[in-house]
Amino acid sequence: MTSPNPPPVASAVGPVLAVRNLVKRFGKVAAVDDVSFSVAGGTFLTLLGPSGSGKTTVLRLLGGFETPDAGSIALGGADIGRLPPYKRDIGVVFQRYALFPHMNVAENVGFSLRQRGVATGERARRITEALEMVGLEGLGGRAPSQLSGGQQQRVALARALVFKPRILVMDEPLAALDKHLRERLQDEIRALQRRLGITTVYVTHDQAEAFVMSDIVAVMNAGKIEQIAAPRALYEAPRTEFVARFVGDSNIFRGPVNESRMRLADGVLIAFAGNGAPPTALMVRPEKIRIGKAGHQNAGDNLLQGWLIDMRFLGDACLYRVRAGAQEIVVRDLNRTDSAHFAAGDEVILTWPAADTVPLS
Amino acid sequence: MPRVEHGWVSVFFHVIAASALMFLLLPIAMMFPLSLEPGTMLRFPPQGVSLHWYSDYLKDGAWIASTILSFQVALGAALLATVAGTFAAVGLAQASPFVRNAALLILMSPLFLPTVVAAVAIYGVYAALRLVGTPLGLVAAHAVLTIPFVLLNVQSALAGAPRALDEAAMSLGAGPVAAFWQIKVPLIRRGIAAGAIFSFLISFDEVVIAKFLSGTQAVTLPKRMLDGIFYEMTPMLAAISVLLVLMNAALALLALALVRGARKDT
Ligand SMILES: Nc1ncnc2c1ncn2[C@@H]1O[C@H](COP(=O)(O)OP(=O)(O)O)[C@@H](O)[C@H]1O
Ligand SMILES: [Mg+2]
Repeated sequence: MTSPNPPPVASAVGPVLAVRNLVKRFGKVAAVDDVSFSVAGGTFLTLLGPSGSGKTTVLRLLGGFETPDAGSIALGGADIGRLPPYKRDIGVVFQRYALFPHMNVAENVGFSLRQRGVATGERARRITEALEMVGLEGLGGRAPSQLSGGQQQRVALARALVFKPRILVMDEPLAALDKHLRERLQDEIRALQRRLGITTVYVTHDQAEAFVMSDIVAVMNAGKIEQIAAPRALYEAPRTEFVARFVGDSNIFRGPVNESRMRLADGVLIAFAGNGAPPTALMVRPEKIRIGKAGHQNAGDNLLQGWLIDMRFLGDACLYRVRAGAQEIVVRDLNRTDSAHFAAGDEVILTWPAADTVPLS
Repeated sequence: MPRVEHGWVSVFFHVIAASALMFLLLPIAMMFPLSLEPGTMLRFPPQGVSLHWYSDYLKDGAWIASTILSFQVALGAALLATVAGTFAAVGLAQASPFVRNAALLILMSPLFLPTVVAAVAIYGVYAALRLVGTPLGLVAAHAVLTIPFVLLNVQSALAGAPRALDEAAMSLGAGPVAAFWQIKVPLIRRGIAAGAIFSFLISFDEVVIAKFLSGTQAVTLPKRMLDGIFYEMTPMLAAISVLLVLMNAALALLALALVRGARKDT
């Protein structure tokens, strides 16, 4: 499952999946509130967001289990927004597996082929192939209840892929598994997705999972997509405070802005690289800041003086909390041989380049 | 029952429970010796041991006709109630709470309504429709009476067939009909079977509605027994009662086993 095939080239004929201005309300709650995105062929897109942000509802709209109040869903150019689930040709992996308890593994996997009238011999061949694909060869005769959680999820994956759907959607498929197994399946699913080149929409509330698996991540908040970008762009250049806080750790600064400087409450100026509208806040990641002894001159556009509140040793790094004027700043310093060590109460200097100060709106 | 700590309280409860059971079962158990009486009077203890009332029953055309009719009516009512009750339970599980509660109240009403009231009402309607004295009329009336039992059994079985499974089936290409027959029905089949057995039993034993609707043509077994108590009280009634008790017990045990099994499945 871990063959290092290159990712497939996105199809030149436009997106495989295009969602436009999708709205779904439950009573007064707009679970999905004007959501638009498109996914190029072969791409792995993840909807990332906190619980209740509308991720599942988007997937259920894609699957056809809910009907949208407004907006459209186009699959391969055709509007499928009002088609019933069984005419959509979308493979769905549910959070709780949803395997049929009265059928064995092979019958579960072959269910879609039987609905499509695939002949017995051909069906058996494809079931075997699908089970091999997810590393479950020989387990076709087992009942779902005789499998571990990870194995059940593999069956669910094989079942969703065996009929060669046009896209694959998965709703937090690994949420119920322990960390070790989760990480292994993340790699396996990603490798399989690349090998098959299948366009995938994945849902998780786990940022690390979203980052290791996805080509593109859409961050959702309160029914809306806050930002949609590749993991690195999302991390380096979050556009809103919500994204900055939800994806990774962050230090947020607030204050009046003049040109490319922000004045903090204590009068200190923070330089940032921006040319758009004046930001409402600035953000710098903890690992972008260099920490040094007071008096010791460090290079950097921004320089703050302060004292160490406390330090947490993480093994690969130290996490420092620094009081600088009115600010409390978190710094992540990698554990290198030449790294300086600090203790609570030490006077320190923090420096970082303006380019690492991200304007937020 | 709450766990009882003190020994003597426990003994007390056991005695009460045993007495209640005796009180209920003793009269029924009495039927067996009574049915062995060779003479024409019901008396205890019996004056001898004979099975001739059993063979008389089996040779009596009118009694056998009533027995066959009761089987037909009970099978028909069970079939009708099972189909209607199953579809209702499955459909209502997906309805809005308001619709579901309103429909349940109506479908469950035979449980709360005195049967004699239902019987009078049905009689009024059937008289106009000329259904009095027809097996079909009995089937329909009994089906209405037993739908609640199918509903209750299927509803509890539905816990083992969550909506996500229907959605999974549909995402795999199964239309609503295929999803119903290939996913829903297999998963709730024990509940359906238990409901069908309860329906059959209730219809087979039902006498109040039968009393009103039998007319002279469609006399069910319980109705003929009820008449017999007034006109020809012989040990044959005891013999038939023994047979009925055996059938009821066997079917009730089967239904209970199904309900248990269904619970274990989920
Ligand atoms: N069937 C439903 N009925 C009513 N409200 C719902 C329903 N499904 C979801 N919601 C609401 O919609 C919002 C989004 O839910 P969901 O899509 O499940 O979020 P997520 O998957 O991101 O946790 C939540 O506020 C939730 O309570
Ligand atoms: Mg969810």
